[in-house]
Amino acid sequence: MTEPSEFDVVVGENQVLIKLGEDVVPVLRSGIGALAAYIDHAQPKRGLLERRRFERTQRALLARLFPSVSDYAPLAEEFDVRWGEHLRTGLFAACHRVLASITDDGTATYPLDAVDDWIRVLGQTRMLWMHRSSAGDVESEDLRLRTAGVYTWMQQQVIVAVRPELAEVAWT
Amino acid sequence: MSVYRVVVLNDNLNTMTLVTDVINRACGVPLPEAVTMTRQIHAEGRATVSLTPTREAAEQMAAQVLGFGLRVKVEANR
Repeated sequence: MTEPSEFDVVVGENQVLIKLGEDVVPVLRSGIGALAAYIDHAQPKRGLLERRRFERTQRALLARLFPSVSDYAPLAEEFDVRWGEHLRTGLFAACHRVLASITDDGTATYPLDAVDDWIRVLGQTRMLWMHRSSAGDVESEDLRLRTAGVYTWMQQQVIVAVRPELAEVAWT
Repeated sequence: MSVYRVVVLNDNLNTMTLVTDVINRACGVPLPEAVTMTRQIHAEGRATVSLTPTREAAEQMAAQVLGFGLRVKVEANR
């Protein structure tokens, strides 16, 4: 898919209404669902090899999601002890709240004061496919780049709908 | 006395709009300055978005920034 055929964000006094096209719903559910599964520490029962492969992928993903805040290893480890679980469980919970808000008909209603969940989850889900070298590209022939580009595009739509003043900044 | 810097780093993943929004809201930087810092991050690779007297405060801010998917460092100025 290129830019979603339908993705409208309507900001009300206390709620945000996000209208998703039929083509967007499965893309969001599969991507966000996969992210939630990878950051879930409650491991499903698997065979040894599969579990090791899953854990290797999980470690790599978590390192991309939450890169070290210090070049000095002891400080980075202390930060992880203090904040790592908070960050992981926070993102996990946000994934489930966002997923729960997406109805089969492609409408998501969300509290305005919690819309950061959408901004965070759309951004972080891209880490399933991307490192930090690209925001993706909705026109790319590469599925991973294209999917990440769609997430980036949706995130941008949510941000500027909630904060239209940011759309007026001239970056060039 | 130590001062702790919260430094946001550039990447090619996050849009300048998101970076500005996070610096503005999560770090409490007024919007015009947040825009300037975002330009600096884009041009120079990094910008100090906050100076705090305690490591705990710097880490708390860094955790918020990390939660939005930005790259961030906590650095001590001794």
